[in-house]
Amino acid sequence: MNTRGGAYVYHCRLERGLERDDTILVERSQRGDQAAFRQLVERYQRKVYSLAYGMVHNPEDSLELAQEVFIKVHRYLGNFQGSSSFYTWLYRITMNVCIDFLRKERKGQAAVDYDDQRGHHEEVNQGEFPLVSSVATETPERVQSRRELGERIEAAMATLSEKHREVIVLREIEGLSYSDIAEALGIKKGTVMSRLHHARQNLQEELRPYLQGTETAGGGDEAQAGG
Amino acid sequence: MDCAHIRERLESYLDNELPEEASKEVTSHVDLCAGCAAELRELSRLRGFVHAHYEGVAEAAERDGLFDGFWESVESQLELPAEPEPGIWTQLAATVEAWWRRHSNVLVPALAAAGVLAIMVGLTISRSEGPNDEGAVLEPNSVARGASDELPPFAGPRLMADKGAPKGVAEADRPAVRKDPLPHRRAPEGMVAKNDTRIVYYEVDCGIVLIDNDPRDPDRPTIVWHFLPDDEEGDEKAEAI
Repeated sequence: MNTRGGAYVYHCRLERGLERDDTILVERSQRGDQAAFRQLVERYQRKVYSLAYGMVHNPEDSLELAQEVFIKVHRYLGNFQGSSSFYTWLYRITMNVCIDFLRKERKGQAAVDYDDQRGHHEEVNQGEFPLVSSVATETPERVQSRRELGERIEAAMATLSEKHREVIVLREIEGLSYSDIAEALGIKKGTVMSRLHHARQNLQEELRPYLQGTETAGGGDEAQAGG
Repeated sequence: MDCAHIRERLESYLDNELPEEASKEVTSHVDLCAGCAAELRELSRLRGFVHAHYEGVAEAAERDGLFDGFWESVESQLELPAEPEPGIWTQLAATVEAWWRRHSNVLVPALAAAGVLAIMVGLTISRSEGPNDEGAVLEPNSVARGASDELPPFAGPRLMADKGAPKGVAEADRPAVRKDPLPHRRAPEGMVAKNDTRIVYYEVDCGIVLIDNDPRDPDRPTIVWHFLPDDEEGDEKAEAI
């Protein structure tokens, strides 16, 4: 008997977990299945872009960095043994790519002290800021308030050092647990907690008027819960 | 528990990283302490503002079509493996082919006669064996029921180490000439059979069992299996790929 050009399947119910799907896609990609790798890219492109933007605050740079991340993932996928989850491995690559980019950018600028001193405001992209709310009937005042808040958030994030920005980005944008952040960055859990605390303190100082409600965020006093 | 102690734990509390007992202590304290409640509120707002802002960034990027062509751009920059150098077997095949061309005028008639004889002998043997050795072709839409003697010999890549794959096994019967201490090896999900290995048995309780052709040799079937998403109908079914 031979399966001449055909294939057949035995198919039954299965509980689906994202991590198991990742494992299947990764294994197929490691065997050269380009369609499987494309699925991985499309699954994570938005997350990787968000993380990159959280680090570099420029849409064009973020898009290029996100593409670079997936090119590196493809190049080193054969080395991925599955000892960690795919997404923490992906996020580690993302952070490394962003840090490399920021360091190259800094080489072309005057030395800036990134010791999280208050008042260090790096030049921030003053282009169109994305609007947080999707409510179609927002008033112009609320739109303006949100825009200002977005500017303040990005300015505050820019005062953080790279290592503090990393943990905030992974925690507040992706909602990773302390363990996952530690795994992604190759640091101890205690270090994650310490850096998060330091980063949040600095951000609180920068954004205090908004946090205490003396400035409005355009969406009411209660912010939407994060991850 | 005093406020200093509680405030050290507020971030972990907000991040759901505290053990249950400690979390309950913080909740009880914050319910009664305006100062700690205000601090928790600030932390919560900070988290919300940052998360919402960057969610908006991603939404705006999608809305503005920033991800259009993203995959194509990545694909165009991927380093795909080069065509392998001709191996020793390929070179040997080229040598054999050259030899054949020199001697085919003598060998072809002799081999034709031998082939006719072999077919006549084969037909005689097959008529005397049971129905499982009829040589039927497995067409798409057939259902695999896992009987070992229905599966043919096949070739494929090496068996790979199991990485915690779940249910579903196959036993591979490897030729004795390979001096394999484990002639029957169980192969979990995702494995493909090795060259000249015959699957003697397979059983999966969920997933696809895919019997397909080795792309390097259409006459050599390969067995792999992978898991599929939830089947909403809940019924076992067979489908062609």
